[in-house]
Amino acid sequence: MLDISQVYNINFLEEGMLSVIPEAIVIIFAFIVLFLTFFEKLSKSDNPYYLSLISIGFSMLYILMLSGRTIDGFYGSIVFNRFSVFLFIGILFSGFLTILMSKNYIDNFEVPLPEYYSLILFGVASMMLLVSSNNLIMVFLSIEFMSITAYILTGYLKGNLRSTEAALKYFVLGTFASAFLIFGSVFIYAATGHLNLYNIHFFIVNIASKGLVNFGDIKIYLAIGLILFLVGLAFKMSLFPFHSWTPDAYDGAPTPVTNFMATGVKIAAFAIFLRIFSLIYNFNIMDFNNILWMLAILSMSFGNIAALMSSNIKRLLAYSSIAQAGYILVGIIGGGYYGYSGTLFYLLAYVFMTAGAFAVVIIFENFDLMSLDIKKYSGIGYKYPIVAAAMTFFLLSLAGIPVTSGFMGKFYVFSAAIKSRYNLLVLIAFINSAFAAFYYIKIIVRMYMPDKEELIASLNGVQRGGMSGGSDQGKPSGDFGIVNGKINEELMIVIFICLFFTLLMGIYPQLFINFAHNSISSLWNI
Amino acid sequence: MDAKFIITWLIPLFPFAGWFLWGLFGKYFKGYSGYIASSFVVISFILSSILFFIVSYTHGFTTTLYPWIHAANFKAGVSAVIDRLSVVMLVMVTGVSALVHIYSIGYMQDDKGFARYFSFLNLFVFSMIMLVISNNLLLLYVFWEAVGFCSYILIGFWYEKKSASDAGKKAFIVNRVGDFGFAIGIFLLFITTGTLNYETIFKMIPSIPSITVTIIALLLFAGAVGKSAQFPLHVWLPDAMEGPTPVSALIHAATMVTAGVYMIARFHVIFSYSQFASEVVLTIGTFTAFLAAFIALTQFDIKRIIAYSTISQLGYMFMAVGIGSYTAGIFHLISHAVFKGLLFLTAGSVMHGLAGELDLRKMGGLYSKMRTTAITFIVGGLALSGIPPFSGFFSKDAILADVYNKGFYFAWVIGEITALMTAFYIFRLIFVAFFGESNLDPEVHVHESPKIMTIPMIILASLALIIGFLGIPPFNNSIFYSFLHVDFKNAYNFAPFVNSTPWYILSLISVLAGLIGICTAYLLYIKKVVNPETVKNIFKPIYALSYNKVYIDEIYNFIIVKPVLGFSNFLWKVIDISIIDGAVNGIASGFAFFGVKAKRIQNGMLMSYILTLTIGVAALLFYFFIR
Repeated sequence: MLDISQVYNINFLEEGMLSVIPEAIVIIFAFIVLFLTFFEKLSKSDNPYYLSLISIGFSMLYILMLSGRTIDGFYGSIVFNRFSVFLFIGILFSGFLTILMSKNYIDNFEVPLPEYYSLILFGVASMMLLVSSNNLIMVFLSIEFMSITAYILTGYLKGNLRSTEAALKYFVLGTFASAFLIFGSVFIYAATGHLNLYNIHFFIVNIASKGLVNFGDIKIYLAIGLILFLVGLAFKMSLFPFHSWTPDAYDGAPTPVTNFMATGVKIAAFAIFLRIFSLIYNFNIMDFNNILWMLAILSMSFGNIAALMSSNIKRLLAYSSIAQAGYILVGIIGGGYYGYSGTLFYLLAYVFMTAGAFAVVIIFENFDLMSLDIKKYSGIGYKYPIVAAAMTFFLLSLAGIPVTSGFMGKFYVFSAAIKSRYNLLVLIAFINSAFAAFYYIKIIVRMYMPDKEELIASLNGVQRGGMSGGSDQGKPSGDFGIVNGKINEELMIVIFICLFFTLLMGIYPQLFINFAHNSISSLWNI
Repeated sequence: MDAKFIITWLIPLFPFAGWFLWGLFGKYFKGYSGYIASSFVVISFILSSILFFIVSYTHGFTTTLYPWIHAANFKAGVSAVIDRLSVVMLVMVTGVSALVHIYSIGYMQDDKGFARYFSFLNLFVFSMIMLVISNNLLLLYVFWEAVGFCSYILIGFWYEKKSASDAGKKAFIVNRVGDFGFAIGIFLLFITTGTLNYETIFKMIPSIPSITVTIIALLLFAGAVGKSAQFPLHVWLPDAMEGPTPVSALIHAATMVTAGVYMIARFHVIFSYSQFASEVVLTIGTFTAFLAAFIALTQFDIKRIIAYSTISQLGYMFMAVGIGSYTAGIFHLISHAVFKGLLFLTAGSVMHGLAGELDLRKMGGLYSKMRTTAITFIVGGLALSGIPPFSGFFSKDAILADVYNKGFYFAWVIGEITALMTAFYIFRLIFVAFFGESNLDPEVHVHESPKIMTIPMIILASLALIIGFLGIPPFNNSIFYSFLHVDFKNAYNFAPFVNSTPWYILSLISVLAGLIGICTAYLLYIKKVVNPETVKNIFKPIYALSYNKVYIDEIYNFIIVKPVLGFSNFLWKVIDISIIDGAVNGIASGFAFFGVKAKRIQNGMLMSYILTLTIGVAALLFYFFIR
């Protein structure tokens, strides 16, 4: 509710500006990168790429300077606190790794470069706005902002049918889901009369404390609103019945963009859901835990079964990301201090292991000979030992084998759920992750123990399949055995960053979990 | 971040870095890996010595590298307890390891797995250091298994040889039996005390019902029986001699096999509060000492003779910890590490000189050809036989005197008989191999080993000569005793002294036993007063029993291996192929069925996507309203 006296507060504008400085830096740089298009000389070289990296560095710097403070900006629609800081760091890392990965990949295609990088930066800024927004309208606006950049990036490979098709599907479905989101917000507003999340929180707490079991129409409106709102967010989190865009969009998009969607979009969506859930949903007047319980189980099971059946590595990772969303949801259901901090830990771990896996996928796509078919991964363990070893590590982490961050993430999330007595849920999640190990390890087995016939097939007459056909389809393929694929430094940097954090979070999780604990405690510090 | 912290964690860091380097980049270093690996271990040894002086002049401390897992009451960190017990062990482990590393450079010179060998040897040293300094049960268990793994992989180092890889597997599987008990013991300890930290556990032990303490102690002892090759799980150690000889010296004589003794000394509080468990330890130790010495009397493979003598000496150590004389046990552990490491290295030198020959019947008269080896071997043999002033005399007699003075007369008598047999079999080996007429294969060119191998042997021999003087004035007021016994002050004194027989009488008996053994060997094999063949024919059944290792392998084969194999065959043919494979294939086809369904959901049609989404929304709303 607008409080006129705030307008005259001298610090109001400063506070407001201060709360969005990290986002503002990224947006300003995005515009600068965009303006490079006007100067042919500047836009042809690597300038956009370096500028984007610098902007992310600056933003990170400001976050570090501001971290620890809690700033309410713009009548409380933006809240900058330690919770946001944790996620900002995750999102910025996701953007940073995506930009590094894009360098050589995008050069392969005849597409304008500055726009691409500026779109990535806009995406990063929108995600940051989303995780710090504290107002239903702000949530809707930033989700739309984020989605639109994602739609454009998905269809960025002009002339490539799969990319365009994926973008269109994503766009139609996304708009559909956004309708639910805004419709849900309307109902929530109708029921409570508030847009600010804190105010809605206090409204519900008030009702709950008065013990009003039947508060009539308000409850029905609120429930419909919350369910529809949940649908809108579940779409972004790609939970089971609302996941259908995920495989097609992940598969069709340029691989760095897939990585961006799998890491950035996912953690932003989960973060805002976590914020809203802890404030609004987490009152058992609606039985939302039961609904989430079912969504989690359906997502894991569907994701794992579908991943098992897919032979394209990008689709496999897409399905596995649906399953991973199910595991992350277990932490939110588990709830409480430990559950939420476990969720944050898992999200950060997920960024690094997924980005690492996608970087490896890009390396082999760049070789121009390797399709995205898993069969083509036969025997690369001997040809590219370091890359294959890194891929093995990331896959083991996704499968949740000890010494990796994935294991510690699952450990925290599941133990929080056990603590809240969701034993059946954890049991099903355990069975699922045991089952999921099968298809992750299947890839590792292919890399190190190829069948003879497959190896021969991969050595002879390899044609570049998959989505990146476009211009070079039908190009005569060289003998794979003699091609000395040069691995770009940028991709190796990505792999080493991801490897470092995946290992560090696996062997020294205490560092990160303490950080997550701090962030979570600021969530309740209203 | 003080000096103690840095020194403590640098000690395991160097061998760890070595493992990493030779494991990944071994082929780039070629022959240098041996020298650098050795220097890494030497640095660890120097740091350990510094730590030793810090601890002896100040006091012990605990230091944490990092808190590893911290969830509710389950706290496990990578942290070390540095007290007098662990520094003594550290100095011994790194010192013997350094000498063995240097020796290995010569011994493994032309092996194609040179870098691999040093990589695993460094990994072993790292694991052993961590095992010694860990201050919680989880870390202990992790490295307890890690040293077992290194032992397995180094026994089977020449994996092309079937006997070597079989021996590795045997060691691993037999250890599994003990470690199963050990793991359950740890779980039980965690459940009863709710913590993994040693100090906290020890404080709680007196208030725990004695029956629980006894069960825990027995389960932990099962682990020690496996690792330290005590009866009935001793069968793996003689076979483990298939590995390279330096490995036998380091892992299967000096360090890893003594981990069981160290573990009991470390958990002395638990064992001392359970008299029954301690008596079991004493009984098993005494019996094993006797049994192994008995088997060693008639063997012909020189490495196996020394292996059985290791088992027998470990039995002495268990006797010591079984009667609560923990310092005596650790003292014998240290002095045994020195002289047994020496015996193995010299045996390796003999093998090196004879192109891999191990059979005693094909040796003889080596003294003139390999003088250094022979003299150092004799020093080791004298130490093993307990002849003063060599180290074995002080350490073994400390144990036997305590056994007598605490009133365990039967065990004492067995111990003295074992001492006699020990002196006999080791001098039988010495007289046959180094003196007497030569039975050498004439084609073998016998030569002394290179300097890089003999120098470690000489160092160990001089240590075997002087280290015993830590044990003066004999026994319970010696330098070593007064240094170490402060660590065992929390032990419950369950076996008080009942006699105070002075040390010179008891040592006289022991020395006499040793001399009788040596003289018998001298008369039989040098003077040939009686032909050994006649003696053999007189005691035919006993000879056969000893020569066939009391048929224990055969008994195990009949009772355990055969039924297990039969059962496995049944499992494979009936359960696995028809039932489990059937079920798995059934499940797989079931999933394939679901997968096809899932694919139908994901058919690429926008309309059907919107339909699933809408159905989802409808289902959620429906759920809410019917609830």
